[in-house]
Amino acid sequence: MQTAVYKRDLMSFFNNGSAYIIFAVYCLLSYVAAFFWGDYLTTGNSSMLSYFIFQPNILAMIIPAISMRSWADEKRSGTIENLLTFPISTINLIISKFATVLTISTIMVLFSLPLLITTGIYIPLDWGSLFCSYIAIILTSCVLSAFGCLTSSISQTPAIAYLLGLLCGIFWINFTFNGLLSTIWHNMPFYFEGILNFSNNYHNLLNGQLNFYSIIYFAGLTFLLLFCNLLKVEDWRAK
Amino acid sequence: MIEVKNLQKSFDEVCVLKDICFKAKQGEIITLLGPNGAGKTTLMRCLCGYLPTNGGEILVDGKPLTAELTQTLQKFGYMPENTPLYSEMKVFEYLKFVGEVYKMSPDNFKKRLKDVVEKLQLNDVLTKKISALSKGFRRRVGVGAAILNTPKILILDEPTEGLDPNQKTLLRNFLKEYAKKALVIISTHLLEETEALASRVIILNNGRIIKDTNFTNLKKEAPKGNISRFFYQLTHTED
Repeated sequence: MQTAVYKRDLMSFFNNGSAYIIFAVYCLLSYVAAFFWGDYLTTGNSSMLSYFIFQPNILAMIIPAISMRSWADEKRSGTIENLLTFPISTINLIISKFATVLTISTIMVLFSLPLLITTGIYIPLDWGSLFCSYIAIILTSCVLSAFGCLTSSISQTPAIAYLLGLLCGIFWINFTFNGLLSTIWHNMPFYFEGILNFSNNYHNLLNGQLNFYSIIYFAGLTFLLLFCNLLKVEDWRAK
Repeated sequence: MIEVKNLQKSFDEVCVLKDICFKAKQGEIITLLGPNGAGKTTLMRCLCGYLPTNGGEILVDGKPLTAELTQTLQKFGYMPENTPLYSEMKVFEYLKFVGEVYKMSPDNFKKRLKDVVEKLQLNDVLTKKISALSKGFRRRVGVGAAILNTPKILILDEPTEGLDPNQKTLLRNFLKEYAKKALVIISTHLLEETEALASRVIILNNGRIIKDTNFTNLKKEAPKGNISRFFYQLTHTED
């Protein structure tokens, strides 16, 4: 990873007033969803399920706002020409940009800590499930960050990058791929059902099952999207 | 130091560089001269690895540029056309960022920063935001960033474009000084630039080199010493 680019992008995000608006909107949405739609106060929440259940869709709305500028702004301002003529490999640039978005997303996830502490005061917490839920939310952030970086690299402006990132994220989270998979694979064994679905893998983790397949699913998807991002950036050089 | 052999570059079906051949060594200032659209910027972008070529070869110290691009780019300093910079950063922050990208040691960075600031007279703007700088200062910051790592090959795309006469003189004197220990390649469409720098001149037209000479010879060749007229004839007969 190129730490200089990572630090610069982080600094650029936090020096921008919109960063704090993004954080505020995220907190507001997360807490409103947990308390009003998730009935946080009336449901037994030893694993904070009412909080984590809404997180994927909220993150799908917020993470594109963090990632939208990562490549689109470099192209718009022309600084991409500087960046690509610095002695930095393209793969390092991709990782640095992705790491910036993921770091900010992880900081955002930490805003759940006050709720965790308060809940812990009143009821005993299920630490195993909580650990798995945090892993789930971080892995979801990884994929959404990679989606965001990719959509930023294919968009001309940050606004288009946000919309594309939002659509991709919402689609990925809410679409079930069972029909698609069974169309391609007619005699699909039953245990393959839901293998590509976000909800199956996310809920496995929320239920405290830290299974290997779910981790591979999220990590694989992240690598695939980053690879597409790499191809896109290499494609700019070729034009 | 740098050798270009039969370089070709096309965008889609349009060939913008055709059979470009030249050699350049340390201690030279090369002015790429040509009308708008002659291929100067494309050639510079190819020389610093930003654009891949469609044919031919660029050798840097005898090795192909693309063989170890990241390492080879350590030898380059490049300032693109219009000097794209991160406008939200302060001048010092930007130069520090560039120093980190080139992995300069803190001591070396301090030494080089002092030198660059002194030679390009950036002292007064070091703590100012780039967005608040005049065009002249932005250019100087761009040049400062390009030379911070003491590159052996300095490539500047229209460095004096839009500067006032005093700033032009400052920059030209600086380039003459710098070229004693490096190869400097600049592009311009101003004849006065080649005269002021007393440099080697490569005239490009329609993507081809139509003249590779020095200013004194160019003046001798020009009918009645009228270089402007001669340049006009050269770049129009080739159409």
